Amino acid sequence: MLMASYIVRRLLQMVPVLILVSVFVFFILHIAPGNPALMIAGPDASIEVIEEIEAELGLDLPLYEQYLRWAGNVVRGDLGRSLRTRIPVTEELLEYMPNTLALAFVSITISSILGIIIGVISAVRQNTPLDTGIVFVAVSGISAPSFVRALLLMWVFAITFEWFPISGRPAGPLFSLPVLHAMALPALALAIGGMASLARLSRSSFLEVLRQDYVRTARAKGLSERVVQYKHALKNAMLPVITILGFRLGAMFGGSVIVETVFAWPGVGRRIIGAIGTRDFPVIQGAVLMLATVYVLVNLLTDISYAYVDPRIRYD
Amino acid sequence: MTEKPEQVAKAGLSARKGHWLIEGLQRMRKNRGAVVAGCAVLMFLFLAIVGPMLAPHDPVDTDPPNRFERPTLEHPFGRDHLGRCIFSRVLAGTRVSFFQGFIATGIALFFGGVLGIVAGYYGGVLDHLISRLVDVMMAFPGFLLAVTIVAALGPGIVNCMIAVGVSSIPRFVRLTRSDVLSFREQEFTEAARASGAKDFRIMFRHILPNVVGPLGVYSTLRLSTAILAAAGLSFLGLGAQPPTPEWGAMAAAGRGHLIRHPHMVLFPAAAIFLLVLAFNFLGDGLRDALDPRQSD
Repeated sequence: MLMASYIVRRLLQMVPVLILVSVFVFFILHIAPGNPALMIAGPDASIEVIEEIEAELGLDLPLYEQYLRWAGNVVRGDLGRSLRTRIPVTEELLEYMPNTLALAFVSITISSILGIIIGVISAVRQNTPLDTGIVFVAVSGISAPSFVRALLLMWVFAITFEWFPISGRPAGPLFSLPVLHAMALPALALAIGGMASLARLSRSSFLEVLRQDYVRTARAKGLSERVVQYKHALKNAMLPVITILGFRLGAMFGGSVIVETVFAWPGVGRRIIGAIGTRDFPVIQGAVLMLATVYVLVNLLTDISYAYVDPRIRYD
Repeated sequence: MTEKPEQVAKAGLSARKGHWLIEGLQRMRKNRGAVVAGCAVLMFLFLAIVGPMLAPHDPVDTDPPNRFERPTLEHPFGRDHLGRCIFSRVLAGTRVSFFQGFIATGIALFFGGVLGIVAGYYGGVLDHLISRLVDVMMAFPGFLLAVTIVAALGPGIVNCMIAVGVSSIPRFVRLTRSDVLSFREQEFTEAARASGAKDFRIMFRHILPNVVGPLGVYSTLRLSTAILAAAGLSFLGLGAQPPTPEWGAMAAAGRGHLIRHPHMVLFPAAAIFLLVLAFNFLGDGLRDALDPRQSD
């Protein structure tokens, strides 16, 4: 009962945030210079033609009416048409979104599994050379910008060893072998940043938990160090790790803009950059709105799962 | 009881300041990694100031016949696709990166600080409005907010700095706001109010000095994030435009030649990696030293 009301409350809190996000996306791209009607009509069009297109796009209406019109369409799943290709934005994004989500999913899986394992090993071996080495590598991983990681991986594994394709996405269903093969390097490039910060967080959280009274109690009972560490401490140490998974996914959406561009991975991030180059604002608006919505939803799921594993949260 | 309330407030403040910052730095001296990192950051800063003067060649001077030259004694990092000296460009790029980082962080610090103080001090509707704005900005996944802002303003180094700065504002607002909340109810604020000080004066003369320290430390840490973001935007062609020697833009120019001429990417990439690495180790050391409870 408590859990259900918590979820409902969080869902309701999400609505105003999403509305404000849409307002923000709409208005910020409206301060951009350039007339979309002119872009559709081309440089040689007559004023009548441009005015006709302006009327068709609703550009002659007051700004708030334009927003309401746009938002109404968005709610119905219509994000407008690309100024360049004239393809409906929703259609385009539905094609690109699965690629971005799959990339993010694979990356976050790699980074959480490896990050947590590395962090725990580092904590268990605290202050040994192994620990120092791991901390050093983790900080290095965080310090390399995503374009550096992406180019380095491409250079070593795609160009020098030729183990993976340099770029692009082969045709075929997601999670089929050739697609996963092509996804490996971009996913790894995205995963390294998250892996490093998850390793650091798991390490400090694990060390923190080892100092708690219940761990001392477990030890005093005469349980073996193995049982204490992996049965008593690990579960509790993972709580703060869950909270940043949502945040990590956000960082991945941000990083995917760069990594998708480097590896020519046909995702939403790469589409945004292409659309910025051609000043195709409906595409930018739609894509940013969609990524932000997914991000807000993921954060909600993170909070809910956190409340599920840590009942104390629900009582706030 | 002869002291004026303002003096009491100032005395309390200076005792507090000397307390945490100086002691923290003394603690950090024992952390060898952090000291080395600090020296490295200072060295980069030095290069940013005098680098262009040390550069053996003009960073924008092209020499097409000798393009893609491998590293030699005269051009230690080789030459790029237009025959420009990569060593000179990387050196000159240090200044561009620091400049971008400082301006962007400055924007975030100024607007974030002011909004945070106002929100924390007044509370109520104003706080609610500012906090919602922060929530909305935080609803954008990290780097995407900066990309969106640049998309609106158009590419270029100035717009890139604005975008990176604005997208960092929310974190500064949150930090300042929570600090101000804890000072709002303290005695020195009460004392200043009792002595007839106006809100503006209390906020900026009495509360601001107390939050300036933590904000300064946080800004130092955020500097590397800003440098990374600006380099990322330039890499995407949304920031510094050619022929500006910018590390991200240089890596982007080398991207197409990665197969045959990896040195075009290698050196600018190494430069930004080392700079951010130094910042991160320094940041870790600072955090451990200033907040010993968190260190392991």
